[in-house]
Amino acid sequence: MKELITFIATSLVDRPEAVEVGESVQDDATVFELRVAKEDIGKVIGKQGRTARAIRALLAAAASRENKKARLEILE
Amino acid sequence: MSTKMEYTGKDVSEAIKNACSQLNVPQDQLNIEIASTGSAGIFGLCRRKAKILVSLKGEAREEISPAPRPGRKSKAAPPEPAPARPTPVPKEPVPPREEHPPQDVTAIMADVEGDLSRLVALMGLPARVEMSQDGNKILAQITGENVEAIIGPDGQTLDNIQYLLRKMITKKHPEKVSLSINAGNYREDRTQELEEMARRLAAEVKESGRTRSIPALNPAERRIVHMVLQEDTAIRSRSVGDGLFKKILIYLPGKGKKRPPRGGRNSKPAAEE
Repeated sequence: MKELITFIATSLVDRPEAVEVGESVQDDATVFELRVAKEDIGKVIGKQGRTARAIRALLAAAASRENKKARLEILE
Repeated sequence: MSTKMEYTGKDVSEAIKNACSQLNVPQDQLNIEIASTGSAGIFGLCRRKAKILVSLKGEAREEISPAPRPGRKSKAAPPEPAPARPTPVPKEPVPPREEHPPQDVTAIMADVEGDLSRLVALMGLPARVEMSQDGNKILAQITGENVEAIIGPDGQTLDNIQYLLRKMITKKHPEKVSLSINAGNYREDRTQELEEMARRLAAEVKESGRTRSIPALNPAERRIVHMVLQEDTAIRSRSVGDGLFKKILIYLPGKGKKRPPRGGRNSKPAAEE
């Protein structure tokens, strides 16, 4: 799932080298923290959060495959 | 291979005229391919622009210059139209198969195939991806045992995949790309379902005279509904509202123009008498 987020994020941003994905477990869910270059934040969030929502949807689909819960946080 | 440029107009002949005046070449030096014939709509509803794809024929290519050449651009049709060009207002769109896909389309298709296969594999849902081309539209077809999961509830996962893939591809290829992703028979089934729903509601409207609405469709789905209802001259359809709350109204023409279907939600004062 980490690779999934990394792949999508690097494909969308201007500075793929600045993309970092962290992973931690909180309660029953895996939390992914996506960091991108400051100027790229808008690209992974999208208009009215459309892109962020799409990434979260795919993440949820991937997680449910493994009977897990996953959350995505986008950080500067 | 020359690149294709896209021009629009209110009908095909106007689109051709636009192309000629912007490129400063007479019409007989253009290879014209009609992507969409457009429609004048009914009372201004559902108006669609005609779209053509244009590339220059061999000899004309060096001739394009930014300087306007008066006399060339003024009239729509040069006196002697080239034999190769289609008639100004053909009834049906150009057949999808044409000579050779330009180089860049081949490259785009390869990228779509690669990125899409990788995306579904990373989601834990590996599947086969087959590419094809329909006019200037690129189609990706997903097949395999994971198709159900890739489509997701109400096709949401598929639509999200399509949305992200379009973004990813636009990033690599800034030129305009029309990409459509299908999984199994989802798009066909959904189209049929929407068409049936539209016809059923249209029949109800005709019988009762009451306005009916369909909420929560995405733009492509609304388009399908409008297209079907356009064939039926006894009723009208239009979209009202904004963003996620946009819905389609189906109503009888001339009858109070518009009635909010239920409750007090008046969405737009557009058609008050």
